[in-house]
Amino acid sequence: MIVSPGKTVRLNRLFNPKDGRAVCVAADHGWMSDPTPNVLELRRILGQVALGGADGILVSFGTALHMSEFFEGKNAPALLIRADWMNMPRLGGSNLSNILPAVNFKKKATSCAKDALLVGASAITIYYFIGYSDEFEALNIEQAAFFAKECRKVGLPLIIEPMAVGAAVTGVNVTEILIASARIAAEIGADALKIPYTNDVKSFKKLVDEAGVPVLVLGGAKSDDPRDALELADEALRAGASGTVFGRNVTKAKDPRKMVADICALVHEGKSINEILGTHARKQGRLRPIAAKCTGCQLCEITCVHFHSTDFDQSSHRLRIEYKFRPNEPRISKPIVCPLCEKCIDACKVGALTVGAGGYLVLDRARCDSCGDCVTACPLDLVVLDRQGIPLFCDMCEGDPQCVQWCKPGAIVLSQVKGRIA
Amino acid sequence: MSLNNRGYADNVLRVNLTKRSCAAERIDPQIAKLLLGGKGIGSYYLYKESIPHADPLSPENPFIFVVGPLTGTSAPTAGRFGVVTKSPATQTFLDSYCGGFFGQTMKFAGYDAIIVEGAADDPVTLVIDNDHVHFEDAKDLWGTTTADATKRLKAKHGEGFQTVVIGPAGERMVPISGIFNDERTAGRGGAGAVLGSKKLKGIALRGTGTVHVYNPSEFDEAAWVSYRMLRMSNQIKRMTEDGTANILGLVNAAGALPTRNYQEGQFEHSNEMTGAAWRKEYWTRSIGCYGCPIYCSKIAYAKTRDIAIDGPDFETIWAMGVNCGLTDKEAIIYSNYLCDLYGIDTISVGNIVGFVMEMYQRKMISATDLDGVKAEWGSGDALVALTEKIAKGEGVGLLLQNGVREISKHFPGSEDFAMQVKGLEMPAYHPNAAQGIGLSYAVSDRGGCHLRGSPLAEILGGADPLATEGKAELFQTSQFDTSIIDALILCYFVKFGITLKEIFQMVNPCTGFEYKSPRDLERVGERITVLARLFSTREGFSAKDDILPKRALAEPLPSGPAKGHVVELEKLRAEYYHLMGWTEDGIPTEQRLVDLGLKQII
Repeated sequence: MIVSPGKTVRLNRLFNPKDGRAVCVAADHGWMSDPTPNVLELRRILGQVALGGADGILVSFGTALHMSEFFEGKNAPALLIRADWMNMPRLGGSNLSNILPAVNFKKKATSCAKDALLVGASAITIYYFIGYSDEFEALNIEQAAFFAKECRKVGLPLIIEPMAVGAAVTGVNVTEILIASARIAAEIGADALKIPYTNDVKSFKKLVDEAGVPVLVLGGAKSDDPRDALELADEALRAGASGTVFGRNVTKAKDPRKMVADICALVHEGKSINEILGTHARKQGRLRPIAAKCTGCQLCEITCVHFHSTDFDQSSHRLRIEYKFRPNEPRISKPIVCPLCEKCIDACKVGALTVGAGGYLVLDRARCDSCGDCVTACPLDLVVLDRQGIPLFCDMCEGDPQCVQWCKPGAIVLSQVKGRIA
Repeated sequence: MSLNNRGYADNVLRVNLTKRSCAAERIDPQIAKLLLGGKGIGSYYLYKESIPHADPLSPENPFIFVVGPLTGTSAPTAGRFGVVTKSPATQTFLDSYCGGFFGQTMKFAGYDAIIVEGAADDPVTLVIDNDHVHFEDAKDLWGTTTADATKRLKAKHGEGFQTVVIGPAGERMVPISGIFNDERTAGRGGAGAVLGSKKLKGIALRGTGTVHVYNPSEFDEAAWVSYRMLRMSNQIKRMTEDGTANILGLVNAAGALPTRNYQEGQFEHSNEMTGAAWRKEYWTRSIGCYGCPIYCSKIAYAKTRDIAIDGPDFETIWAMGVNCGLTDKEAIIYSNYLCDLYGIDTISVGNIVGFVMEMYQRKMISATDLDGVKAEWGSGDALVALTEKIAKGEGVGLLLQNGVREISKHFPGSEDFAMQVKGLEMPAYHPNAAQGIGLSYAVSDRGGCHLRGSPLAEILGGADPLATEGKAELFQTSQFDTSIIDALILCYFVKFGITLKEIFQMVNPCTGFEYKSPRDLERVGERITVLARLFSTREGFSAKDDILPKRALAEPLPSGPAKGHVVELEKLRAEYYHLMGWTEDGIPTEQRLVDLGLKQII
């Protein structure tokens, strides 16, 4: 609920007036955690973020002073100031090699609304921790109420970030806590929320509905696969979220500018993830194993089977992990995948096997006489006949190979080659 | 209701080694819904079928292999198996879990559980090829190392077979012996000894069947969300990069890293022992268990010995390193290697050596008593020499192999610093530096263990580790969570990326059991926890046994953040019993059993 002209003006700077949505980037980690590369290279990264088209950037007060250039100009991103400090990353949640450890959870208010206005902020963001202890929660509420009052006086929007943190927060109660804290934060006086995703659309929708103010979903720790962050944003938007405040998934990305632009395409342009990542363009690729990265977990086999059947087994996979055993050394593994050598096609006398328009093997079942010549022709032993005599072969999961998607260490990749198109 | 399309094989294999017979039976669907699988089903059969007060090493003690409804599916880490039996180390309920590739193969062979009864007269192996089961003479395998036995079984039956075996220590029925699937082990509590008593050297098993889940599309979505969360977790990322030892620095910073047999809580050389330090010097690559996106296992290569092993993990690095005051990585790797070959638990061995070193420090034991080994703090040579004696059962090893509690009986006064509970040596978190963890050691199912609900979050930032308020509840919640993970059976480490909520999201479409909320599932976790407790209380265990060694109760830590602290056990334990609805003596009440629906099924 917008209650003052100042707030309205500033919220309109943050949220795109056309769709009421915002893509923000959180870059306020430096003074709370250890100096990771994304912290040390903040200036370069923020430049990229701004070019990517971010609607707002969340930084510490010091960064706002030192790097004010990113917030100047008519189309520059809105400035969001982190107005409090906490030590959570030092409580066993982070890398201790560069940082002094802490034992107890602490939080302090560090900036006031007026300071934020002076540096041209469009909003301030504060934490609201819930779940650690009753005393700590009371302190959080007290500070949030104080900031709400300050912000009201000067017409500055307040974004509250509810976080369920503490050993007592479990899978049993975490969703209920987040939903409750979203509503409480709105009642204290938040103009918008920054909040973690609840990991299912239904409960997040409930959270958005009960909050009654715009909800921006946060990203959390960085995934090596940019698809993960986009999926999370997509699900949150489907639940009614008004945008994103992603931090590490942007600032630690290989190409922060592209990552922001991709999120914008999703949030503002309504593009699908497949459109954004160009999954369909991958269709002409071929599978390539990178043996050194293989951990031998067989997840590729599991998901290969499951793509082609609703069941699970460990016999009908169309690729395999091969193990080597040496004395006094644990197993060594490597993926054996179909390189599309086309020997099976050449061996098929009835011409049932072809490389289709999608760039992967296709079987014409009407022609197949189950002779098994493709099975014997495969130099890698990857083709078998099923119980009905139908050959099972790698069809690249019809262009979206599951092994590539699920292999976390990246031991199977798609490489672009000019395939023979039938 | 058929369980067959609900993640289960709906089949229990009963093998009687005395009669050399086997039979299959189905699982009561009501039991499955109440107890899921894994630890739940295992504790059910153990409770129903064992004779109270039976010797764990007698034919009367059933030995149960279990998997869970998620086993063999695309749920993360769903290839593990568990073993459930009465522990020869503690005489309590014992469950122990193992990664690798045996679990899902057991499910694909068509079994949710394999109950091994009786005992053979001569060494045997069990060969299971889907529904075809037979026994094979194993006289030639008896006495072989785990690596050798595994290699021979695979050579004989083919690479399509997965194996579990025991080593020479299990054959000797040593209470610190485990069972092995390749280099992975169900290590704690003496499961290897039980198989040794049955003269069962191992199992070779092949499975070519299928697993069906109840609602595949909903299940796939839930599994994908779990993987995504694991990919987006910082803690998981650190485990992937620096192995389980990534937390060594954190535990040390909390003053909770037991040093020199728990005399201190911080190790002055902890920087040399962190995952990052091992990665730089010793690790060559990672390997993953079936379906695991975490791959915490690191292969360490010891140049001087020219051996590479899967490990050492955090607990081993602590037990054999920090707890013995040493940083000799080659010695740790070689000792770990010996433990794997002979089939013993590295945590217990590290504890035993640390305990001996403290007795040596206090001049309660001499080099002469130790076959000439100078058991000085920090000596890698002493670690290797003593580990070898324990592994092979040679010389003083014949005494040491029985564990810290048994050794302490021979050295009056040493009980005070024999760091064990109910006969199981404690793990790598100092109880004095974390009240909830202290409580968990005292009351957990299988004695001094961190994997039965210890609220490690205390040390990792989730709560003030030195406060007692709320800790009983914290432990209770964590215990129920862990029981569910062990019932399904997933890896404990998924807890660092997903919660019971995401697990709930997978369990419902897998089983179709229609649990209403994660809270429903937590209730299943409580039921399983109480059933395991009932087994031990029937054996005579009660509050009098839920205790800690004197060092944890009356010897304050001398330094570090937890300086001056001991475990306030009586208070915590009373609160825990109260929360559980048990008597002051730690016995579940009849009313509680009725409420939980347990009274009706046992």
